[in-house]
Amino acid sequence: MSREEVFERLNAVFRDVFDDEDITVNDQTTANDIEDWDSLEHINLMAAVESEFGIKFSMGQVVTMKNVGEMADIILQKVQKG
Amino acid sequence: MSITSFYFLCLFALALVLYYVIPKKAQWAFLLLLSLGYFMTSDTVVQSGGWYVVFYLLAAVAAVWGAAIYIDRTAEPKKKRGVLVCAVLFCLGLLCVLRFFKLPLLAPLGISFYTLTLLGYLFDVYYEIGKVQKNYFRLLLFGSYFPVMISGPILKYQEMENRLYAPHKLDYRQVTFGMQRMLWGFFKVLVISERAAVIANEIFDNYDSYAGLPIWVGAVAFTFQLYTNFSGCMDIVLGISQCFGIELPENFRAPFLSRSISEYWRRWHITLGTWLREYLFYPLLRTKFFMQLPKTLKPKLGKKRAKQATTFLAMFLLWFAIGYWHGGTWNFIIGSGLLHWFYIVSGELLEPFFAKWKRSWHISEENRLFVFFQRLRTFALVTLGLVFFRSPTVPDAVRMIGRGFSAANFRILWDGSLFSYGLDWIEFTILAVSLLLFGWVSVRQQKGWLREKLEKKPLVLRWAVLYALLFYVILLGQYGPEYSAAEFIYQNFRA
Amino acid sequence: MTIKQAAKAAVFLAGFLFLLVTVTYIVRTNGGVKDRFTGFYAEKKNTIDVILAGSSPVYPYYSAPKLYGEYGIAAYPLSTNNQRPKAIKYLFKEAQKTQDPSLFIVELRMFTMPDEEWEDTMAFTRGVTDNLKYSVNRIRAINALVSDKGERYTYYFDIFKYHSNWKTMVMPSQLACWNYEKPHPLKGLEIKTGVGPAVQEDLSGVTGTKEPPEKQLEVLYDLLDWIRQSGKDALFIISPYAMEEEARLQYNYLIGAIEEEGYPVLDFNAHIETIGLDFSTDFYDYGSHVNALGEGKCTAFLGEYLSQHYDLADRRGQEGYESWDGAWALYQTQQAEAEASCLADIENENWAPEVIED
Repeated sequence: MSREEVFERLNAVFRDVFDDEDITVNDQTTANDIEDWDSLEHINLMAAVESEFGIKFSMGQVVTMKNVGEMADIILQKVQKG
Repeated sequence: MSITSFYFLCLFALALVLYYVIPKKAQWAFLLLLSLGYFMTSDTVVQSGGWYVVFYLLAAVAAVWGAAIYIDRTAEPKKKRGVLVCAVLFCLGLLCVLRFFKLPLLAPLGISFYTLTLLGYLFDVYYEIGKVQKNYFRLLLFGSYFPVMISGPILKYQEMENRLYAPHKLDYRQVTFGMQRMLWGFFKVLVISERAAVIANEIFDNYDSYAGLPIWVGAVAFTFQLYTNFSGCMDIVLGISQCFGIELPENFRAPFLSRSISEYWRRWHITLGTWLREYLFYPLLRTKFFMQLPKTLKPKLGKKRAKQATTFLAMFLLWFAIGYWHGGTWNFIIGSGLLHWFYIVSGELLEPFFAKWKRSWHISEENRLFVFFQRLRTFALVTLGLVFFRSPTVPDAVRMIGRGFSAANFRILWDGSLFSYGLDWIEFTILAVSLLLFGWVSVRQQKGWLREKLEKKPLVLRWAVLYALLFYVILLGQYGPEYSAAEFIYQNFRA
Repeated sequence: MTIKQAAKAAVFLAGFLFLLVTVTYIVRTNGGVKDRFTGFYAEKKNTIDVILAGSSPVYPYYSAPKLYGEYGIAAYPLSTNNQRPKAIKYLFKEAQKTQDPSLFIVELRMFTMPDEEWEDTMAFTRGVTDNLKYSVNRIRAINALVSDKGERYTYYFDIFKYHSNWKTMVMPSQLACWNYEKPHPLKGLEIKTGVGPAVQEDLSGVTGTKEPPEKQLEVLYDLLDWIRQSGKDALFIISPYAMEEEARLQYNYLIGAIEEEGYPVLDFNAHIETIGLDFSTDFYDYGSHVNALGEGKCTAFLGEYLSQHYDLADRRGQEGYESWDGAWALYQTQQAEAEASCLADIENENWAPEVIED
């Protein structure tokens, strides 16, 4: 799976979770850029991303992820391993 | 020995000198000695003659230290989990033994704060967020660092390890900034909080003799008392630590400038909020039950509502925990827990109506009047919760609130009644002026530390400001042989 | 930290300490005792020959202006309410910093009362310690007078107690105390008006003795030791009052003990007729302390005694005693008014309200 592909699928997940069809995420996107992305939605988002890619984040990853770029890296890592 | 006592300040000054004189490599060990010494001489321990409580501390740290090393080495998730559960139970168990069986007096001694600090470290190792500390004594310092012992903030190991054990060169600016911050804390605690306490105590202790506005004057006084006491204490604690060159996490960011209750909780007692979110709320939401719940509810409520309901349920548990942490009785569970849950949930549910209402009245989000209204609303809601918090029981709080609505006696604002609640007009004026000064600084502070601005002013002006504040606190603070200061309110909160 | 920063910190700290001392001097509780001590510190160097120490039977009894005006004696009372005898040594030491007295006078009334009773009321200790300028002697006095070590810091730094007096910061009379030197117009005297008649039962037949509280005896011997080493003259006095047999017995013991050590005791109670003291008119509080009428008589008796027994210089007209001439003039006016007021009260049988012994 390529990085672009990951971002494409992430976009869909974000739009679904935040109910906003205009969202486009990139490497630098953080919680500050999306209005509804608070700590609660963060958990929902994580769950949605996990089921989309069929992976499982560790609690540490959930808490420390700083931006979408990092998220994509972790996803790629996990997908390639599995 | 309390952190505002004269002897503490003397020892602090002495320790500070020694700290920068001894070899830099030994600094952390020196801090550890100070911490253990402070622990054993703290008021509660000395009064009950139980210096041996230090063994509780040593044992709790030993358990966490051993468990973390084991978890770090073991690959099997089951074993990791088993050891984690054992260590957590051990710490909480010790706490219970101490609290319920032998030494109930000792329970308040900040035990809850360092227990949370230690458990946070253990969870971090378990979640593979943080590194493991193999040196027992270093971990002991992390768990017992004396400035934070009494009332927090709750520390995070990853943030602290580079600061606690590192060599610290004497940095004039850090030390002076630290001391100035302490002074500001003393201003809040001794000048404002102790005065507000007089009014709050009078009204809360005799609420049956008051009706209408005086009740709310007392409630507001308590809100100020609690906030200035707790945040002032944090200023002192962070200031002390800054003098030692060790930066601590902030616990407050002007919470009463918050425009909503959820924002308020991101700015009030920040480290507790973070701790509960990361170590209680997130793991809770990621349990099978909570992962499954939205899917179960979806057919009945629809996707959005199902998600919302799940979140609300988890939040209910979180707020219950926060309330319970503050005291374990219903007035705490409601006052600083479930009532806030109710606020946030109502806020979420009513959001569409608010939005509509705002549109039809053409109110802009950034309208200053509207922002002011939102802040006032937050303040009022928090104050209402604190009535429960301060009252001995829930029925008392309910009765008191009821009395608050039983009369509309606005004339107390100008007929001199304000000066009959324990503070005469002079004392009342001092309280009001100090609160205004504090409020002004808090608002200005949003645009960066005033201290840094002051730094750029000429020396004469700078010193004049410092001397003025020093003597303002020395003369107008409530302390000394004729006065017995209230303890830090948060010192008494348990795990 | 650079040397410049260290210097800056030192200057800041010095400035703070200076302000702290100044502010403390200003906010120390105002009143007669403070005025007496600031007055003492304001006296010109080496002008006072006699220092009196003791409790309330000193400052209303003996008029320094009169001693000067009529006998040429320069004396000053370092007297405070219920002054604990332990404090006397330190007061004399304090006096020697600015003065070179040749005679110390010690009033004995407090030696008959157990010290413990007074230690619990910090006002009586603070009357002494919190009216001294900051010094090592003051620290020693506190260490001697305050046995609870945990509390001593509130004495060392008495701002801990007096900061609540901040309102006095705006009073010119208190601002004038910024360096704890403010001349006392009557050289420490408090003229008392009012009349409270008393009866002195005849105790002349009481010749037995009773040992005063043991700790006070220790203090007495310690004081005698110190005086002997200082090489100064000392006179012990018992001011007149309506005493009870219990006290009489203790005084008898004290007189014996002091005379045995080679120092004289002047017992005013043994000379009531010579003094001309009238218990029915000369006390303001029913027998414990004299009013202006009694003060005039007691001072005259003391003045005579000192002139006869000691070789004290006549300071009248000497350079540096101009303020004493002023005090003497002021005293004459105020004393005349006070005596007239007392006489009027006697005439009208207008007795003073009962006072609680302080």
